[in-house]
Amino acid sequence: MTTSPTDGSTIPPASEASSEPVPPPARRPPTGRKRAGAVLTAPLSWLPLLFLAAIVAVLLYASDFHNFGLSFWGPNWFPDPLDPASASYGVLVFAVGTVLTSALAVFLAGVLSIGLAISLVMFLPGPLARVLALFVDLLAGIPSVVYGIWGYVVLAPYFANDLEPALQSHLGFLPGLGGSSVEIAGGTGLLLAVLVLTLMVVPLTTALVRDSLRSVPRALEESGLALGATRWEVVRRVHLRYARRGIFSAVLLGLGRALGETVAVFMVIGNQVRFPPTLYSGTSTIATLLVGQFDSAFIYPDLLRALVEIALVLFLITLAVNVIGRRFLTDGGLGRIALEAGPEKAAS
Amino acid sequence: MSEPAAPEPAPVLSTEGLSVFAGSREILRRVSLAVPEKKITAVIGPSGCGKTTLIRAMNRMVELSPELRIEGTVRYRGRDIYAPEVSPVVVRRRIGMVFQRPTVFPQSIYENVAFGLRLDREEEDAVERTVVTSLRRAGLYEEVKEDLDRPALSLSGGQQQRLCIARALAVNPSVLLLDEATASLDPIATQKIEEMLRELKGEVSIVLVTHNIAQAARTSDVTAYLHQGRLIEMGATSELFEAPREKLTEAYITGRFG
Repeated sequence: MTTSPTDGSTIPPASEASSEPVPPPARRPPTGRKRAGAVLTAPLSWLPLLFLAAIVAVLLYASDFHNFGLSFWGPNWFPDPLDPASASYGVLVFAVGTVLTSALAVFLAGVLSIGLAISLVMFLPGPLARVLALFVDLLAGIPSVVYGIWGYVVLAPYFANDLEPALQSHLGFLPGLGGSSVEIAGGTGLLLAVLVLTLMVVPLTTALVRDSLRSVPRALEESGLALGATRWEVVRRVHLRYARRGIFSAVLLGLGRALGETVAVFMVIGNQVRFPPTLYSGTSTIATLLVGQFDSAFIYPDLLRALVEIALVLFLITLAVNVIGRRFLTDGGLGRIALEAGPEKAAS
Repeated sequence: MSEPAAPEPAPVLSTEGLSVFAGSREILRRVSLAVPEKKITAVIGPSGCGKTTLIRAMNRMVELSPELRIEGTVRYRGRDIYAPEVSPVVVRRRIGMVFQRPTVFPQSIYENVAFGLRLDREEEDAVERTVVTSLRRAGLYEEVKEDLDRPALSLSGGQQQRLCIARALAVNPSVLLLDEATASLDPIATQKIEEMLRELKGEVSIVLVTHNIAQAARTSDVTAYLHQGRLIEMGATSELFEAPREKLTEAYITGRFG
């Protein structure tokens, strides 16, 4: 497409603007062509900001802070289209569900991917590590719905028949693991959702942890070894310390991913509107509520407004998590030292 | 043991027919030399002559580069350090190393020096004593004693390098290998390190790889000259610099190439 040169703060022009005669940029001398490239791409680079602003504007416009009042932050969810006065649209159950599933999943994913990344970067021989790393990356490419259906078809029966009864009878004294066997139902519920989410987050966090472990200068690693540390001691005392900001950031970005995950969680979480009394119980998250209720929301304006407002809450949570995560990723307070590695010299 | 050049009877460290290969390329060619106890041994030679590889072979750091293959023997007090029952971890505790550039850990001054001691889970007051002694031995204590909890990265380059030396000394090695340890430092910082090394040599045997010929002449007791992976000449520093036996050595120390 050809665009007219704009000041960059406005958006790609409408059809009127593009029909105006524009000097053909390609025939200009090199400097002109460079400018044409900048002019063409500058509006594009503003698009993300525009989208963000538009989404926030729609969320703010379509939600309704005044009508719901304090009950919006409460635990009661009674969407009653026939009696708006007694209806209640409380976000709390879903917010708790979102935070609970994500936090548990990210904790598990963090532990798994730190271990995985350490073995890929530090211990496995190069070719094998590359092949295994490829498989981890491939996991990231599996569509969410496939994880969901796999969780529902394969894992849920196993959870219902074997794993969860076993956990209940052996570890039932622990908080969240006991309760009535009714809670297990079909195997769908908090625990299954957490597990599926974990598997979905692990590829992302592993890749990020791997990168931050790789960023540890070889010279520091060698210094540790030269002091008589074993490889494992160097991993613990040099790598994990040097890369800790990167690892923290990886976990936060994983959390950002988990918070917004919808379809897979929807398929395995049981979708009950209540605080989960046990880890086996069905519950809901903000994302699963939205996807589950959205079709009926167009008939009931109050419900639609409530859902949009709840979506805004989710958006703000994920935005905050991502902003903090990225800050730690790029603000390389510890990574600024320029160190040259010794091994290249050794071969000289 | 055929030792043509070593004046000392019982070397702390010796190599016999030591060769290192990178594929088919021979980086070190049958180097046999002896490092005398509690002296400073300088290893000089033009860049690419194998100096760094030689000292990296002396504490098994070469093993970290899987593309390198080692032949021959390295003995520490008579024991083959590459023998299958010998752990590289033990070797590196006896034979410490300081690198070309300061490699401080992103931690406090105190924790940097304590790194090797923490591996042994020593008592905290023993750690503290050793940290202070090591900083003194490396000639850094007076400059940093006010605040040992400062980040080590806030020190100057020369101070960081002395911190690395203190860190290596803290585990009490018998031999300290320095790989061009002053190459990235200014003359004043270099001078401080040279003075400190001369004081240290009563306690530790030092091997100093340097491309700075004047530094070798100033600092060392014994000098080895390497050329294209071969040991050309080794002897008392004064003799080697005043009356080199080999033409190559003479050409190098008089600056005809390098």
